[in-house]
Amino acid sequence: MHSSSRELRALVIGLISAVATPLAGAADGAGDNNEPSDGMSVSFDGFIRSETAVKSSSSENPFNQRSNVMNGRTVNRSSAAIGGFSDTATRNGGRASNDLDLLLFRAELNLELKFTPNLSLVSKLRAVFDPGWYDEFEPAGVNSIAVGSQYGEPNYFEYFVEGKSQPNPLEFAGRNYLIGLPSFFVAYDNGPFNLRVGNQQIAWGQAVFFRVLDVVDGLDLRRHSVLDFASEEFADKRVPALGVRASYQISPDWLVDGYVQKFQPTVYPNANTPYNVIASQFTVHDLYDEYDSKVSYGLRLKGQAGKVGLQAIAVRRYNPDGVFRWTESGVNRDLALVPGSGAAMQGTPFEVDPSGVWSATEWFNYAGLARLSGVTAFDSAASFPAALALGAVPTSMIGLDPYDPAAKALVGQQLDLFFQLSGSGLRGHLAREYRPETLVGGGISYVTEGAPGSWLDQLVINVEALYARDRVFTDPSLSGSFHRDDEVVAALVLEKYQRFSENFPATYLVFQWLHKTRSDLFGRLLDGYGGDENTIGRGVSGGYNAFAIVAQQAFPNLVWRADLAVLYEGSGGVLIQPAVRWKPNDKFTLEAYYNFLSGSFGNESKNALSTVAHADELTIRLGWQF
Amino acid sequence: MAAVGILRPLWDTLAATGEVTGAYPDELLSIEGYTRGRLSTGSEINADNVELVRELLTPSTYLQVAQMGRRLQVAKTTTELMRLSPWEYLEATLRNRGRARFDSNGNVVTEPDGKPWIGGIPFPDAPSAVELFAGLTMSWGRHDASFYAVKEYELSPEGRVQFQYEAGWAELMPVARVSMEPRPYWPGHDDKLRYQSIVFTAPQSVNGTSFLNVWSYDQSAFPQLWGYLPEFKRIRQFPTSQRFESMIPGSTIYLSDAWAAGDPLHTWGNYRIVGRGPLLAGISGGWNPAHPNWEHRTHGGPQGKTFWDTVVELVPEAIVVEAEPVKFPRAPVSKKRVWFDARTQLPIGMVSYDRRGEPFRSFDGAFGLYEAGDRTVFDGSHPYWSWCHVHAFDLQTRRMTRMEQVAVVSPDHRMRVNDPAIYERYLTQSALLRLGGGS
Repeated sequence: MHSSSRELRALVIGLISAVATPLAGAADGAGDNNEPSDGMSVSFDGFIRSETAVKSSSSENPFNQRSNVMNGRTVNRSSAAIGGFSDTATRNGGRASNDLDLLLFRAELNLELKFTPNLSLVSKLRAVFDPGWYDEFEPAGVNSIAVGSQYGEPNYFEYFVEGKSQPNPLEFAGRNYLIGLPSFFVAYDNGPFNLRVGNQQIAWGQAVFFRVLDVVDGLDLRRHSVLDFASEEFADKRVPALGVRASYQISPDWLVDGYVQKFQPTVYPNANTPYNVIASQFTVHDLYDEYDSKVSYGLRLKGQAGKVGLQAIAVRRYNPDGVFRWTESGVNRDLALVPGSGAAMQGTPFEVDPSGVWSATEWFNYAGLARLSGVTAFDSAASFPAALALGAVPTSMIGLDPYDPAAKALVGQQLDLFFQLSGSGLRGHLAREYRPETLVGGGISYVTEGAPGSWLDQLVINVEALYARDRVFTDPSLSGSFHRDDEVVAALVLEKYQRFSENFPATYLVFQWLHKTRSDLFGRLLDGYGGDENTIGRGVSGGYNAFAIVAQQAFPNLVWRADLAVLYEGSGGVLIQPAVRWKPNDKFTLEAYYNFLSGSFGNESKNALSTVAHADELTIRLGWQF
Repeated sequence: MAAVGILRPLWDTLAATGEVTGAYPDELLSIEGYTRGRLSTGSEINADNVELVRELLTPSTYLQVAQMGRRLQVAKTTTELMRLSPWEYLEATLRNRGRARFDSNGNVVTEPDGKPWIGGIPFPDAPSAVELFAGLTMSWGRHDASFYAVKEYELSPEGRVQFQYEAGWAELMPVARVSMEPRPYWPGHDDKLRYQSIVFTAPQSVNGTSFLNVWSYDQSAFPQLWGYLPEFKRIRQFPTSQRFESMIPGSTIYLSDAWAAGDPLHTWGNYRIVGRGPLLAGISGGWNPAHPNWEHRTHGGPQGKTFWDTVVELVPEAIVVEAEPVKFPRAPVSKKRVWFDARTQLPIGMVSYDRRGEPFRSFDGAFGLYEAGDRTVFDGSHPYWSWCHVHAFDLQTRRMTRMEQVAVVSPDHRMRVNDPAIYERYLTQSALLRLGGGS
């Protein structure tokens, strides 16, 4: 160990010991070692790391203002058929040209205080800083005065919830920084019984990356979204929650594990940040404040029956991903060509602002990108009393089928009229709510035995399935009645360590198949699939299927490791991530991985990965630990 | 089968006197006698005089002394049986002499009732090669339960410490118990041979990484293996046949290497005795009570850090056994050669060979009683006997892994022996979850 890191550790441990020792009685010196210690001990370590993602294509995130696909594109707007007029519109959001998708500096510090052999405090402090060296959105540049803190200059880390300044009680964030305690809990263990009380993350299931039984925590997507090193899975993503977790080893083969925790939602990247996935023409009113006191709870039984591994879970939770619906904007701002209309507009889901949608063409385009229906989404918005008062006519009100071209035409005319009258654009306002659900699931695993060294020797086969009864989804119409349906999520996982050479360690190979009956990898309802600028999506049948193949080849002594992860969606989306990891000593680690993403091996509106296909990038992480 | 002992059968002598002296001639019981006075107790073996004892060293130890600056301090040969292994284990060996046999599946059972083994060395008197390995595989640390606090250092060929780890290694016997109640079997667990786990506690990058092996008593079956990897934050089942992989960066240690018998007995085969003779090995004096955490001093190599300071003594009779990894067709080793102390069947040296038959990696350990006045560590009513430090050396790349048993590793994992709490603390899936909690 280098002397500097040793001194730092010694200083921290010394300071903590000085403060905490009186709490635990006299500390036991390491030399008094004939019997297990009843005294206090402190351990401290951590790392610092830079994380840089260099873009390898000119594609930019279409969900951000400066890379809106309509920027600079002149489109016709026409409302003549309903008494309006025709004109053209050219969105003026400029054009971002980023070299970097990500530049993040991270420090993590782990501290464990052991008060007695059975009682300890475990904490992890995570601090990240993003200098924001991107082509950032500047509201003044497009004369935007959009309401809502996150719709001004980009904010990389704050999680905005209406009426609540600190949605995660152990997290402190600003535009460029995030400091939190993803672990901060007291652990008590007594024989087969373990108890953890405090802020913690919980992961269940055998499948990796595909979240079948891993249902306890939502995901925090503010740090490189889901595009981190695939082999790390969601270690940095699971949202910690205040809670109590208890496990009991019933017998050598059976473990029961349960938790009750404060409900914490998934955190999406903010508008106009590199990995944002919610179109920035929309304002989200996150209503988590109304669910802040809710709890989720669950129980898992995991064990072994002979050579067969079994697990079963039952969970009652609020779905952390949330559901979205139209909501009144509350913004009293006139349509430019209709003076005095502001009072009515505030009762609609729209806000007049140049950062909003400018044309029906843009509306349908982004409805397709967001896996929504441009027609029924209009109908839902137009059904607000204030919208009806302003003359909006839902197509359903006059009996049109949403897939009838006449319905799309009528919606297009009405939308263009409102956009024309707005004088700039209209931002859509959405409320994010959370709905409870009951989940039951199970898994079975088996390790095969075959001829030594053969493909069927020591093949780990695992099947997991989850049933969500009456699950609530965001409806493609953004209706407040949402979409309710039962869903089954299942995965088949095959894992194998196979030695191809006597000179190299075994290659770790994984094959996984994920099937979801109603939603995609990101939880979006499949009914909204298939739409684009010219088409109203009719959804897809047969459910969602994704396949993952992972190969991990360590080199002798594990100083080098090469990884390859491929995720392929049956509908044409693909993520290919080759990676290399170099750890020449116990202080320094270099990781480099390339993300190739595409949705264009099939219909882009019928797969999930096209949503993040802009993020072809080479990520380099340089870490130093102490 | 050749009996152990030269002048008379060793275990008859031990049973009668507790001393090995009657079984061997004087020239095999002291370095002075063997070298005709050219070396004596207290002498240092180094590059200048190593040729005097070349035939008493494993080839790799000779190379290290002759070429890499390794030095060995010579101690008096231990002749008192009860100082050579845990007291209760040796008592059980004497008590159960002649009661072991192999059943039709090749597992050691009691004679005549065919039950799992009841403790001690099963075949002490005139062991065949497979009997030597059967005893070693059955009981690694010779205590019913052990938790070793371990510091591990990975050195480059240039002698730099590139990686430094802290870890805990736990092993517990559900059968053949000689100290812990209930014994000799733990009801409900007696179809297992061993629970064993390793947990890495430092540095941060590996903190919480742990693996749990549950060994069937059937020595043809692979153990079940579960692991907790911090990045997954959960316990996952792993295939267990891959026992020739480094577990952590920089390490030259494989799971297969544990105690020179890290795999089930019958996953190796072609056991054969290839030699007998005296050997210099670290039988006593390996413990360093002078350091509050029992840490050892180093010397040699390019930067003076490659080797532990090592005390050796003349072992009057070592049995050299070779075996081949018959159930591991793509293993990087073609065979291993293990030197057993004929008195206690303790593995005191090992060299493995690559697929071309070239020497690949070597292992030598130091053992001893943890006995030093008021600092003596007890395993119950007797001074603790255990391993103290180990060298694992890659003869082809000259990378070295050094391991030492210490009193405590971070955050507060302390050495324990014959403590039933080891099971709940380290040897269940629940334990793995808890141990991974700090990450």
